[in-house]
Amino acid sequence: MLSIEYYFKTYFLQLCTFAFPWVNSEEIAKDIVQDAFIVLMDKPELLEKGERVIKSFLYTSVKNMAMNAKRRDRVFDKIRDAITIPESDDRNILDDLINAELIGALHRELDQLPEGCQRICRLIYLDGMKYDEVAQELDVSVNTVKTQRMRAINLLKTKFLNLVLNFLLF
Amino acid sequence: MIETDKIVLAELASLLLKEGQLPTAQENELRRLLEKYPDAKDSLRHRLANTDIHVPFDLRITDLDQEWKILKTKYNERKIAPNYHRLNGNWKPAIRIAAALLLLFTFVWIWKSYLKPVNYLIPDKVYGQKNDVLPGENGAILKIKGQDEINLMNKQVDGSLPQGIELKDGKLLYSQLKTEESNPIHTLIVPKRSTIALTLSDGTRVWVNSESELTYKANFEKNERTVRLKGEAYFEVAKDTKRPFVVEANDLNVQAIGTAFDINSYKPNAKVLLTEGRLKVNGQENEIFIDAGNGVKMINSQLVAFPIPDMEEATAWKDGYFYFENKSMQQILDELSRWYGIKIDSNVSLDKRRYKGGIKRDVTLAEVCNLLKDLTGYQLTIDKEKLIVNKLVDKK
Repeated sequence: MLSIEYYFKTYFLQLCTFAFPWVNSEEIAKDIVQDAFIVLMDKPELLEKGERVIKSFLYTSVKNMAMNAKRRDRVFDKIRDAITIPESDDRNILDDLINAELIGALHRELDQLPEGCQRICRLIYLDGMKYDEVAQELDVSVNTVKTQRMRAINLLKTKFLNLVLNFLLF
Repeated sequence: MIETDKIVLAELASLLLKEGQLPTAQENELRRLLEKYPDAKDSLRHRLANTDIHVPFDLRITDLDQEWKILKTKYNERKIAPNYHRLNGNWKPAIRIAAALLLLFTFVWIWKSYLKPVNYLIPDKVYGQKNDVLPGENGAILKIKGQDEINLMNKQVDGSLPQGIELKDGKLLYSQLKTEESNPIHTLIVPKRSTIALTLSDGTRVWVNSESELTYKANFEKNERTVRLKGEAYFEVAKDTKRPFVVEANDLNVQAIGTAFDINSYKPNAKVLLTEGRLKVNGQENEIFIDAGNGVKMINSQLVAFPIPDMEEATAWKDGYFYFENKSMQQILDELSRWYGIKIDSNVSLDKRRYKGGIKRDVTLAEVCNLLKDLTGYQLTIDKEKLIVNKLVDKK
Protein backbone atom coordinates (compact mmCIF):
# COMPACT_ATOMS: atom_id res chain seq x y z
CA MET A 1 0.00 0.00 0.00
CA LEU A 2 1.38 3.37 -0.99
CA SER A 3 1.47 6.27 1.44
CA ILE A 4 -0.33 9.58 1.19
CA GLU A 5 3.07 11.21 0.91
CA TYR A 6 3.79 9.16 -2.20
CA TYR A 7 0.52 10.23 -3.80
CA PHE A 8 1.10 13.81 -2.82
CA LYS A 9 4.59 14.05 -4.24
CA THR A 10 3.69 12.12 -7.36
CA TYR A 11 0.45 13.85 -8.26
CA PHE A 12 0.57 17.30 -6.69
CA LEU A 13 1.82 19.08 -9.79
CA GLN A 14 -0.47 17.41 -12.26
CA LEU A 15 -3.47 18.02 -10.04
CA CYS A 16 -2.50 21.70 -9.89
CA THR A 17 -2.28 21.65 -13.68
CA PHE A 18 -5.73 20.12 -13.77
CA ALA A 19 -7.24 22.71 -11.40
CA PHE A 20 -5.61 25.73 -12.96
CA PRO A 21 -7.82 26.36 -16.03
CA TRP A 22 -10.84 26.78 -13.76
CA VAL A 23 -9.38 29.16 -11.26
CA ASN A 24 -6.61 30.90 -13.20
CA SER A 25 -4.51 31.32 -10.12
CA GLU A 26 -1.48 29.37 -9.03
CA GLU A 27 -2.24 30.00 -5.36
CA ILE A 28 -5.88 28.97 -5.54
CA ALA A 29 -5.00 25.88 -7.60
CA LYS A 30 -2.44 24.80 -5.00
CA ASP A 31 -4.88 25.47 -2.16
CA ILE A 32 -7.51 23.36 -3.84
CA VAL A 33 -5.15 20.44 -4.33
CA GLN A 34 -4.01 20.72 -0.70
CA ASP A 35 -7.65 20.65 0.39
CA ALA A 36 -8.33 17.59 -1.74
CA PHE A 37 -5.48 15.78 0.02
CA ILE A 38 -6.84 16.80 3.41
CA VAL A 39 -10.11 15.13 2.47
CA LEU A 40 -8.15 12.05 1.40
CA MET A 41 -6.29 11.99 4.71
CA ASP A 42 -9.64 11.70 6.45
CA LYS A 43 -10.44 8.59 4.43
CA PRO A 44 -7.50 6.27 5.07
CA GLU A 45 -9.63 3.30 3.98
CA LEU A 46 -9.41 4.62 0.41
CA LEU A 47 -5.68 3.93 0.37
CA GLU A 48 -6.37 0.22 0.19
CA LYS A 49 -8.36 0.58 -3.01
CA GLY A 50 -5.37 1.18 -5.18
CA GLU A 51 -3.80 3.95 -7.17
CA ARG A 52 -6.47 4.35 -9.86
CA VAL A 53 -9.28 4.80 -7.37
CA ILE A 54 -7.27 7.31 -5.43
CA LYS A 55 -6.40 9.21 -8.57
CA SER A 56 -10.04 9.23 -9.54
CA PHE A 57 -10.95 10.47 -6.07
CA LEU A 58 -8.32 13.22 -6.19
CA TYR A 59 -9.18 14.39 -9.69
CA THR A 60 -12.87 14.43 -8.83
CA SER A 61 -12.37 16.37 -5.59
CA VAL A 62 -10.13 18.88 -7.32
CA LYS A 63 -12.62 19.27 -10.15
CA ASN A 64 -15.53 19.90 -7.79
CA MET A 65 -13.61 22.34 -5.64
CA ALA A 66 -12.26 24.16 -8.67
CA MET A 67 -15.72 24.43 -10.16
CA ASN A 68 -17.07 25.84 -6.92
CA ALA A 69 -14.27 28.35 -6.82
CA LYS A 70 -15.07 29.36 -10.38
CA ARG A 71 -18.75 29.62 -9.61
CA ARG A 72 -17.94 32.03 -6.81
CA ASP A 73 -15.91 34.12 -9.19
CA ARG A 74 -18.77 34.18 -11.63
CA VAL A 75 -21.14 35.43 -8.98
CA PHE A 76 -18.69 38.23 -8.45
CA ASP A 77 -18.56 38.91 -12.17
CA LYS A 78 -22.29 39.05 -12.40
CA ILE A 79 -22.44 41.69 -9.76
CA ARG A 80 -19.80 43.74 -11.39
CA ASP A 81 -21.89 43.14 -14.50
CA ALA A 82 -19.42 44.84 -16.83
CA ILE A 83 -17.25 41.76 -17.09
CA THR A 84 -18.43 39.12 -19.53
CA ILE A 85 -19.47 35.83 -18.04
CA PRO A 86 -17.54 32.83 -19.34
CA GLU A 87 -19.58 30.79 -21.78
CA SER A 88 -19.72 27.48 -20.01
CA ASP A 89 -18.59 25.43 -17.08
CA ASP A 90 -18.02 22.38 -19.18
CA ARG A 91 -14.37 22.15 -19.75
CA ASN A 92 -13.25 19.16 -21.75
CA ILE A 93 -12.42 17.00 -18.76
CA LEU A 94 -10.74 14.30 -20.83
CA ASP A 95 -8.47 16.79 -22.52
CA ASP A 96 -7.63 18.37 -19.18
CA LEU A 97 -6.90 14.92 -17.76
CA ILE A 98 -4.59 14.04 -20.64
CA ASN A 99 -2.77 17.34 -20.27
CA ALA A 100 -2.37 16.83 -16.54
CA GLU A 101 -1.14 13.26 -16.93
CA LEU A 102 1.33 14.31 -19.59
CA ILE A 103 2.77 17.15 -17.59
CA GLY A 104 2.98 14.93 -14.53
CA ALA A 105 4.79 12.24 -16.48
CA LEU A 106 7.24 14.65 -18.10
CA HIS A 107 7.93 16.24 -14.82
CA ARG A 108 8.65 12.95 -13.08
CA GLU A 109 10.91 11.99 -15.96
CA LEU A 110 12.90 15.20 -15.74
CA ASP A 111 13.22 14.67 -12.03
CA GLN A 112 14.84 11.32 -12.70
CA LEU A 113 17.73 12.89 -14.55
CA PRO A 114 21.08 12.77 -12.76
CA GLU A 115 21.68 15.89 -10.70
CA GLY A 116 24.44 17.24 -12.95
CA CYS A 117 22.38 16.92 -16.13
CA GLN A 118 19.41 18.48 -14.44
CA ARG A 119 21.29 21.48 -13.21
CA ILE A 120 22.87 22.13 -16.55
CA CYS A 121 19.58 21.70 -18.40
CA ARG A 122 17.87 24.04 -16.00
CA LEU A 123 20.46 26.73 -16.46
CA ILE A 124 20.32 26.39 -20.22
CA TYR A 125 16.59 26.06 -20.68
CA LEU A 126 15.13 27.81 -17.71
CA ASP A 127 17.55 30.62 -17.12
CA GLY A 128 18.39 30.99 -20.80
CA MET A 129 22.13 30.89 -20.18
CA LYS A 130 24.66 30.36 -22.93
CA TYR A 131 26.91 27.29 -22.72
CA ASP A 132 29.93 29.34 -21.67
CA GLU A 133 27.90 31.12 -19.01
CA VAL A 134 26.74 27.82 -17.60
CA ALA A 135 30.31 26.55 -17.66
CA GLN A 136 31.43 29.59 -15.74
CA GLU A 137 28.57 29.37 -13.26
CA LEU A 138 29.25 25.71 -12.47
CA ASP A 139 33.00 25.99 -12.86
CA VAL A 140 33.20 23.23 -15.49
CA SER A 141 34.38 23.25 -19.10
CA VAL A 142 32.12 24.17 -22.00
CA ASN A 143 32.55 20.63 -23.31
CA THR A 144 31.20 19.16 -20.08
CA VAL A 145 28.13 21.35 -20.45
CA LYS A 146 27.60 20.11 -23.99
CA THR A 147 28.04 16.44 -23.11
CA GLN A 148 25.80 16.68 -20.06
CA ARG A 149 23.11 18.30 -22.19
CA MET A 150 23.36 15.52 -24.77
CA ARG A 151 23.31 12.94 -22.01
CA ALA A 152 20.13 14.45 -20.62
CA ILE A 153 18.48 14.38 -24.00
CA ASN A 154 19.50 10.77 -24.53
CA LEU A 155 18.34 9.76 -21.08
CA LEU A 156 14.93 11.21 -21.63
CA LYS A 157 13.06 8.26 -23.01
CA THR A 158 10.66 10.38 -24.95
CA LYS A 159 10.56 10.27 -28.70
CA PHE A 160 8.91 13.61 -28.69
CA LEU A 161 11.96 15.61 -27.89
CA ASN A 162 10.26 18.82 -28.94
CA LEU A 163 7.68 18.22 -26.35
CA VAL A 164 10.25 18.09 -23.62
CA LEU A 165 12.19 21.01 -24.94
CA ASN A 166 9.02 23.08 -25.17
CA PHE A 167 8.25 22.03 -21.68
CA LEU A 168 11.64 23.05 -20.44
CA LEU A 169 11.57 26.28 -22.33
CA PHE A 170 8.27 27.36 -21.01
CA MET B 1 -16.90 10.84 -9.69
CA ILE B 2 -14.54 10.81 -12.66
CA GLU B 3 -14.56 7.20 -13.87
CA THR B 4 -11.30 5.31 -13.44
CA ASP B 5 -11.57 4.39 -17.12
CA LYS B 6 -11.15 8.04 -18.02
CA ILE B 7 -8.05 8.16 -15.84
CA VAL B 8 -6.65 5.08 -17.58
CA LEU B 9 -7.41 6.69 -20.92
CA ALA B 10 -5.57 9.84 -19.92
CA GLU B 11 -2.60 7.83 -18.63
CA LEU B 12 -2.32 5.84 -21.85
CA ALA B 13 -2.78 8.90 -24.02
CA SER B 14 -0.05 10.76 -22.16
CA LEU B 15 2.25 7.75 -22.48
CA LEU B 16 1.59 7.62 -26.21
CA LEU B 17 2.29 11.34 -26.55
CA LYS B 18 5.44 11.09 -24.53
CA GLU B 19 6.96 7.94 -26.04
CA GLY B 20 5.49 8.10 -29.53
CA GLN B 21 4.20 4.54 -29.38
CA LEU B 22 2.64 2.03 -27.02
CA PRO B 23 3.15 -1.71 -26.40
CA THR B 24 0.43 -3.68 -28.21
CA ALA B 25 -1.60 -4.57 -25.13
CA GLN B 26 -1.76 -0.98 -24.03
CA GLU B 27 -2.48 0.21 -27.53
CA ASN B 28 -5.49 -2.11 -27.69
CA GLU B 29 -6.65 -0.86 -24.33
CA LEU B 30 -6.37 2.72 -25.55
CA ARG B 31 -8.34 1.89 -28.72
CA ARG B 32 -11.08 0.33 -26.63
CA LEU B 33 -11.25 3.37 -24.37
CA LEU B 34 -11.30 5.77 -27.30
CA GLU B 35 -14.34 3.91 -28.62
CA LYS B 36 -15.93 4.33 -25.22
CA TYR B 37 -15.06 8.03 -25.02
CA PRO B 38 -14.93 9.26 -28.61
CA ASP B 39 -14.56 12.85 -27.43
CA ALA B 40 -10.99 12.06 -26.49
CA LYS B 41 -10.11 11.21 -30.10
CA ASP B 42 -10.05 14.81 -31.23
CA SER B 43 -8.07 15.88 -28.25
CA LEU B 44 -5.49 13.14 -28.82
CA ARG B 45 -5.30 13.78 -32.55
CA HIS B 46 -4.76 17.45 -31.94
CA ARG B 47 -2.06 16.80 -29.38
CA LEU B 48 -0.25 14.30 -31.61
CA ALA B 49 -0.12 16.87 -34.38
CA ASN B 50 0.89 19.69 -32.13
CA THR B 51 3.60 19.47 -29.52
CA ASP B 52 2.50 22.41 -27.41
CA ILE B 53 1.87 21.69 -23.77
CA HIS B 54 -0.10 24.01 -21.59
CA VAL B 55 1.91 24.47 -18.45
CA PRO B 56 -0.19 26.72 -16.25
CA PHE B 57 2.61 28.12 -14.11
CA ASP B 58 6.21 27.38 -13.42
CA LEU B 59 5.80 23.93 -11.97
CA ARG B 60 9.47 23.16 -11.60
CA ILE B 61 10.12 25.76 -8.97
CA THR B 62 7.35 24.25 -6.88
CA ASP B 63 9.07 22.61 -3.94
CA LEU B 64 7.19 19.39 -3.27
CA ASP B 65 8.80 18.82 0.11
CA GLN B 66 7.72 22.28 1.14
CA GLU B 67 4.17 21.73 -0.14
CA TRP B 68 4.01 18.46 1.75
CA LYS B 69 5.02 20.25 4.96
CA ILE B 70 2.32 22.86 4.37
CA LEU B 71 -0.25 20.12 3.92
CA LYS B 72 0.73 18.40 7.15
CA THR B 73 0.56 21.67 9.06
CA LYS B 74 -2.84 22.47 7.58
CA TYR B 75 -4.11 19.02 8.48
CA ASN B 76 -2.86 19.18 12.05
CA GLU B 77 -4.16 22.69 12.65
CA ARG B 78 -7.54 21.62 11.48
CA LYS B 79 -7.54 18.60 13.75
CA ILE B 80 -6.74 20.46 16.94
CA ALA B 81 -9.07 23.37 16.23
CA PRO B 82 -12.15 22.22 18.19
CA ASN B 83 -10.97 22.41 21.76
CA TYR B 84 -13.70 21.85 24.32
CA HIS B 85 -13.01 21.70 28.00
CA ARG B 86 -14.84 19.13 29.99
CA LEU B 87 -16.64 20.47 33.01
CA ASN B 88 -16.15 18.81 36.36
CA GLY B 89 -18.81 18.35 39.03
CA ASN B 90 -18.11 21.61 40.87
CA TRP B 91 -19.46 23.60 38.00
CA LYS B 92 -22.95 22.19 38.15
CA PRO B 93 -24.50 24.71 40.61
CA ALA B 94 -22.93 27.53 38.68
CA ILE B 95 -24.50 26.27 35.51
CA ARG B 96 -27.92 26.19 37.16
CA ILE B 97 -27.55 29.79 38.25
CA ALA B 98 -26.33 30.75 34.83
CA ALA B 99 -29.29 28.98 33.22
CA ALA B 100 -31.73 30.77 35.53
CA LEU B 101 -30.16 34.12 34.77
CA LEU B 102 -30.22 33.35 31.09
CA LEU B 103 -33.92 32.56 31.29
CA LEU B 104 -34.55 35.82 33.10
CA PHE B 105 -32.57 37.76 30.55
CA THR B 106 -34.46 36.06 27.79
CA PHE B 107 -37.76 37.20 29.28
CA VAL B 108 -36.50 40.73 29.67
CA TRP B 109 -35.21 40.66 26.12
CA ILE B 110 -38.45 39.34 24.65
CA TRP B 111 -40.40 41.92 26.63
CA LYS B 112 -38.12 44.68 25.42
CA SER B 113 -38.36 43.58 21.83
CA TYR B 114 -42.15 43.78 22.12
CA LEU B 115 -41.81 47.32 23.34
CA LYS B 116 -39.67 48.38 20.44
CA PRO B 117 -41.07 46.91 17.27
CA VAL B 118 -38.78 47.12 14.30
CA ASN B 119 -40.19 47.91 10.91
CA TYR B 120 -37.38 46.71 8.71
CA LEU B 121 -38.04 42.98 9.00
CA ILE B 122 -40.00 41.57 6.10
CA PRO B 123 -40.96 38.05 5.04
CA ASP B 124 -38.60 36.31 2.62
CA LYS B 125 -40.10 34.39 -0.28
CA VAL B 126 -37.08 34.08 -2.51
CA TYR B 127 -34.12 32.74 -0.59
CA GLY B 128 -35.78 30.42 1.93
CA GLN B 129 -34.80 32.44 4.99
CA LYS B 130 -37.13 32.77 7.99
CA ASN B 131 -37.36 36.47 7.33
CA ASP B 132 -35.53 39.16 5.43
CA VAL B 133 -34.05 42.48 6.51
CA LEU B 134 -34.43 45.68 4.52
CA PRO B 135 -31.27 47.62 3.76
CA GLY B 136 -30.39 50.82 5.58
CA GLU B 137 -31.38 54.25 4.32
CA ASN B 138 -30.36 57.87 4.20
CA GLY B 139 -30.69 59.43 7.59
CA ALA B 140 -29.05 60.72 10.74
CA ILE B 141 -29.72 62.57 13.93
CA LEU B 142 -28.49 66.12 14.22
CA LYS B 143 -27.58 67.33 17.68
CA ILE B 144 -26.98 71.02 18.15
CA LYS B 145 -25.56 72.00 21.48
CA GLY B 146 -28.32 73.31 23.73
CA GLN B 147 -31.18 72.23 21.47
CA ASP B 148 -33.43 69.23 20.86
CA GLU B 149 -32.21 66.45 18.63
CA ILE B 150 -33.49 66.57 15.07
CA ASN B 151 -34.19 63.28 13.35
CA LEU B 152 -33.36 63.81 9.70
CA MET B 153 -35.34 60.69 8.74
CA ASN B 154 -38.59 62.58 9.37
CA LYS B 155 -40.19 63.85 6.24
CA GLN B 156 -41.19 67.29 7.51
CA VAL B 157 -37.89 68.17 9.04
CA ASP B 158 -37.19 71.45 7.29
CA GLY B 159 -39.10 73.58 9.76
CA SER B 160 -37.02 72.40 12.68
CA LEU B 161 -33.66 73.01 11.02
CA PRO B 162 -31.82 76.21 12.01
CA GLN B 163 -31.39 78.94 9.48
CA GLY B 164 -28.68 78.26 6.91
CA ILE B 165 -29.14 74.50 6.96
CA GLU B 166 -31.36 72.58 4.61
CA LEU B 167 -32.08 68.97 3.76
CA LYS B 168 -32.19 68.43 0.03
CA ASP B 169 -32.56 65.00 -1.59
CA GLY B 170 -31.50 63.42 1.67
CA LYS B 171 -28.34 65.51 1.81
CA LEU B 172 -27.61 68.04 4.49
CA LEU B 173 -26.40 71.42 3.20
CA TYR B 174 -24.75 74.10 5.31
CA SER B 175 -24.34 77.54 3.89
CA GLN B 176 -21.86 80.05 5.20
CA LEU B 177 -23.70 82.33 7.59
CA LYS B 178 -22.79 85.97 7.74
CA THR B 179 -23.74 86.52 11.36
CA GLU B 180 -21.20 85.22 13.78
CA GLU B 181 -23.10 85.79 16.95
CA SER B 182 -23.83 82.11 17.56
CA ASN B 183 -21.76 79.30 16.17
CA PRO B 184 -22.76 76.21 18.07
CA ILE B 185 -21.16 72.81 17.82
CA HIS B 186 -23.11 70.34 15.69
CA THR B 187 -22.89 66.59 16.08
CA LEU B 188 -24.23 64.41 13.34
CA ILE B 189 -25.04 60.97 14.71
CA VAL B 190 -25.42 58.33 12.03
CA PRO B 191 -26.82 55.16 13.62
CA LYS B 192 -26.70 51.65 12.25
CA ARG B 193 -28.83 51.19 9.12
CA SER B 194 -28.13 54.78 8.09
CA THR B 195 -25.78 56.88 6.07
CA ILE B 196 -25.80 60.53 5.14
CA ALA B 197 -24.01 62.94 2.85
CA LEU B 198 -23.50 66.55 3.78
CA THR B 199 -21.85 69.70 2.56
CA LEU B 200 -20.16 71.74 5.26
CA SER B 201 -20.14 75.53 5.40
CA ASP B 202 -16.82 75.72 3.53
CA GLY B 203 -18.10 73.56 0.67
CA THR B 204 -16.35 70.37 1.81
CA ARG B 205 -18.44 67.31 1.04
CA VAL B 206 -18.60 64.49 3.55
CA TRP B 207 -20.20 61.07 3.37
CA VAL B 208 -20.70 59.56 6.81
CA ASN B 209 -21.09 55.79 7.06
CA SER B 210 -23.31 53.84 9.46
CA GLU B 211 -22.60 53.84 13.17
CA SER B 212 -20.47 56.95 12.97
CA GLU B 213 -20.40 60.45 14.40
CA LEU B 214 -19.13 63.69 12.95
CA THR B 215 -18.67 66.80 15.11
CA TYR B 216 -18.02 70.26 13.65
CA LYS B 217 -18.94 73.90 13.97
CA ALA B 218 -21.80 75.16 11.82
CA ASN B 219 -19.42 77.87 10.65
CA PHE B 220 -15.74 77.14 10.56
CA GLU B 221 -13.34 79.57 12.23
CA LYS B 222 -11.31 82.05 10.19
CA ASN B 223 -8.05 80.19 10.54
CA GLU B 224 -8.97 76.53 10.75
CA ARG B 225 -11.47 73.90 9.77
CA THR B 226 -11.55 71.10 12.29
CA VAL B 227 -13.96 68.17 12.52
CA ARG B 228 -13.94 65.13 14.76
CA LEU B 229 -14.89 61.69 13.49
CA LYS B 230 -15.88 58.42 15.09
CA GLY B 231 -16.43 55.57 12.65
CA GLU B 232 -16.04 56.03 8.92
CA ALA B 233 -16.39 58.99 6.57
CA TYR B 234 -15.21 60.01 3.14
CA PHE B 235 -14.14 63.62 2.69
CA GLU B 236 -13.86 65.75 -0.45
CA VAL B 237 -12.19 68.78 0.99
CA ALA B 238 -12.89 72.18 -0.58
CA LYS B 239 -9.64 73.89 -1.40
CA ASP B 240 -8.66 76.67 0.99
CA THR B 241 -4.92 77.18 1.39
CA LYS B 242 -5.39 79.59 4.28
CA ARG B 243 -7.38 77.20 6.42
CA PRO B 244 -6.17 73.61 6.53
CA PHE B 245 -8.93 71.05 6.95
CA VAL B 246 -8.26 68.84 9.95
CA VAL B 247 -9.95 65.57 10.86
CA GLU B 248 -9.37 64.11 14.28
CA ALA B 249 -10.12 60.40 14.54
CA ASN B 250 -8.92 58.24 17.44
CA ASP B 251 -5.20 58.95 17.73
CA LEU B 252 -4.93 60.34 14.24
CA ASN B 253 -4.89 63.91 13.12
CA VAL B 254 -5.28 64.30 9.38
CA GLN B 255 -4.52 67.60 7.70
CA ALA B 256 -5.62 68.43 4.20
CA ILE B 257 -5.83 71.48 2.02
CA GLY B 258 -7.86 70.23 -0.92
CA THR B 259 -8.02 66.46 -1.20
CA ALA B 260 -10.31 63.46 -1.06
CA PHE B 261 -9.84 60.65 1.42
CA ASP B 262 -11.57 58.01 3.49
CA ILE B 263 -11.02 57.56 7.20
CA ASN B 264 -12.08 54.36 8.88
CA SER B 265 -11.86 54.49 12.66
CA TYR B 266 -14.28 51.78 13.73
CA LYS B 267 -11.32 49.92 15.21
CA PRO B 268 -8.92 51.63 17.65
CA ASN B 269 -6.32 51.71 14.90
CA ALA B 270 -7.75 54.14 12.39
CA LYS B 271 -6.92 53.87 8.71
CA VAL B 272 -6.75 56.64 6.12
CA LEU B 273 -7.06 56.03 2.38
CA LEU B 274 -6.15 58.95 0.16
CA THR B 275 -7.73 59.01 -3.28
CA GLU B 276 -6.80 62.54 -4.42
CA GLY B 277 -4.18 65.12 -3.53
CA ARG B 278 -1.81 65.09 -0.60
CA LEU B 279 -2.24 64.63 3.14
CA LYS B 280 -0.33 65.12 6.33
CA VAL B 281 -1.17 62.62 9.02
CA ASN B 282 -0.08 62.99 12.63
CA GLY B 283 -0.06 60.00 14.95
CA GLN B 284 0.99 59.55 18.54
CA GLU B 285 4.65 59.35 17.74
CA ASN B 286 5.31 60.38 14.17
CA GLU B 287 3.89 62.30 11.26
CA ILE B 288 3.77 61.23 7.69
CA PHE B 289 2.98 62.75 4.28
CA ILE B 290 1.21 60.71 1.63
CA ASP B 291 0.19 61.23 -1.97
CA ALA B 292 -2.95 60.02 -3.72
CA GLY B 293 -3.16 56.25 -4.04
CA ASN B 294 -1.61 55.66 -0.65
CA GLY B 295 -2.95 54.98 2.79
CA VAL B 296 -1.80 55.32 6.35
CA LYS B 297 -2.42 53.02 9.25
CA MET B 298 -1.16 52.77 12.78
CA ILE B 299 1.03 49.78 13.59
CA ASN B 300 2.36 49.59 17.15
CA SER B 301 1.56 53.27 17.62
CA GLN B 302 3.70 54.15 14.60
CA LEU B 303 2.12 55.54 11.45
CA VAL B 304 2.95 53.50 8.39
CA ALA B 305 2.19 54.44 4.80
CA PHE B 306 1.19 51.82 2.25
CA PRO B 307 0.01 51.83 -1.37
CA ILE B 308 -3.74 51.20 -1.78
CA PRO B 309 -4.21 48.09 -3.91
CA ASP B 310 -7.66 49.16 -5.01
CA MET B 311 -9.14 52.64 -4.68
CA GLU B 312 -12.65 51.29 -4.64
CA GLU B 313 -12.16 50.18 -1.08
CA ALA B 314 -12.23 53.85 -0.12
CA THR B 315 -15.15 54.95 -2.26
CA ALA B 316 -17.40 51.94 -2.93
CA TRP B 317 -19.52 52.29 0.21
CA LYS B 318 -20.40 55.93 -0.43
CA ASP B 319 -21.39 55.02 -3.98
CA GLY B 320 -23.76 52.44 -2.56
CA TYR B 321 -21.74 49.24 -2.84
CA PHE B 322 -20.47 46.64 -0.48
CA TYR B 323 -16.93 45.97 -1.50
CA PHE B 324 -15.51 42.69 -0.26
CA GLU B 325 -12.26 42.75 -2.18
CA ASN B 326 -9.47 41.55 0.04
CA LYS B 327 -11.63 41.57 3.15
CA SER B 328 -11.89 38.84 5.73
CA MET B 329 -15.19 37.26 6.76
CA GLN B 330 -15.06 39.17 10.06
CA GLN B 331 -14.76 42.51 8.24
CA ILE B 332 -17.60 41.59 5.89
CA LEU B 333 -19.85 40.62 8.80
CA ASP B 334 -19.03 43.86 10.65
CA GLU B 335 -20.16 45.82 7.61
CA LEU B 336 -23.39 43.85 7.33
CA SER B 337 -24.10 44.36 11.00
CA ARG B 338 -23.75 48.12 10.61
CA TRP B 339 -25.83 48.42 7.46
CA TYR B 340 -28.65 46.02 8.30
CA GLY B 341 -28.67 46.73 12.04
CA ILE B 342 -28.34 43.05 12.82
CA LYS B 343 -26.46 41.09 15.43
CA ILE B 344 -23.95 38.52 14.27
CA ASP B 345 -24.06 35.15 15.96
CA SER B 346 -21.16 33.05 14.81
CA ASN B 347 -21.01 29.39 15.74
CA VAL B 348 -17.69 28.84 14.07
CA SER B 349 -14.32 30.45 14.27
CA LEU B 350 -13.96 32.54 11.13
CA ASP B 351 -10.97 31.81 9.00
CA LYS B 352 -8.70 34.61 7.89
CA ARG B 353 -9.18 34.01 4.18
CA ARG B 354 -9.79 37.07 2.12
CA TYR B 355 -12.53 37.29 -0.45
CA LYS B 356 -13.34 39.29 -3.47
CA GLY B 357 -16.72 40.38 -4.63
CA GLY B 358 -19.28 43.05 -4.11
CA ILE B 359 -22.96 43.85 -4.21
CA LYS B 360 -25.13 46.94 -4.11
CA ARG B 361 -26.06 48.09 -0.65
CA ASP B 362 -29.71 48.68 -1.52
CA VAL B 363 -30.58 44.98 -1.66
CA THR B 364 -32.08 43.02 1.21
CA LEU B 365 -29.97 41.01 3.62
CA ALA B 366 -31.18 37.67 2.26
CA GLU B 367 -29.80 38.54 -1.16
CA VAL B 368 -26.43 39.45 0.31
CA CYS B 369 -26.43 36.20 2.30
CA ASN B 370 -27.14 34.27 -0.85
CA LEU B 371 -24.14 35.86 -2.54
CA LEU B 372 -21.91 35.34 0.48
CA LYS B 373 -22.86 31.69 0.71
CA ASP B 374 -21.45 31.19 -2.77
CA LEU B 375 -18.53 33.49 -2.19
CA THR B 376 -17.29 32.34 1.18
CA GLY B 377 -18.67 28.89 1.87
CA TYR B 378 -20.35 30.01 5.08
CA GLN B 379 -24.01 29.27 5.70
CA LEU B 380 -25.77 32.47 6.76
CA THR B 381 -29.18 32.13 8.37
CA ILE B 382 -31.36 35.11 9.22
CA ASP B 383 -33.40 34.83 12.40
CA LYS B 384 -35.28 38.10 12.96
CA GLU B 385 -32.52 40.64 13.66
CA LYS B 386 -29.84 38.04 14.03
CA LEU B 387 -27.51 36.59 11.45
CA ILE B 388 -26.29 33.12 12.32
CA VAL B 389 -23.03 31.99 10.77
CA ASN B 390 -22.23 28.34 10.21
CA LYS B 391 -19.88 26.36 8.06
CA LEU B 392 -21.58 25.28 4.89
CA VAL B 393 -22.01 21.52 4.90
CA ASP B 394 -20.82 20.00 1.65
CA LYS B 395 -23.50 18.18 -0.24
CA LYS B 396 -22.04 14.92 -1.40
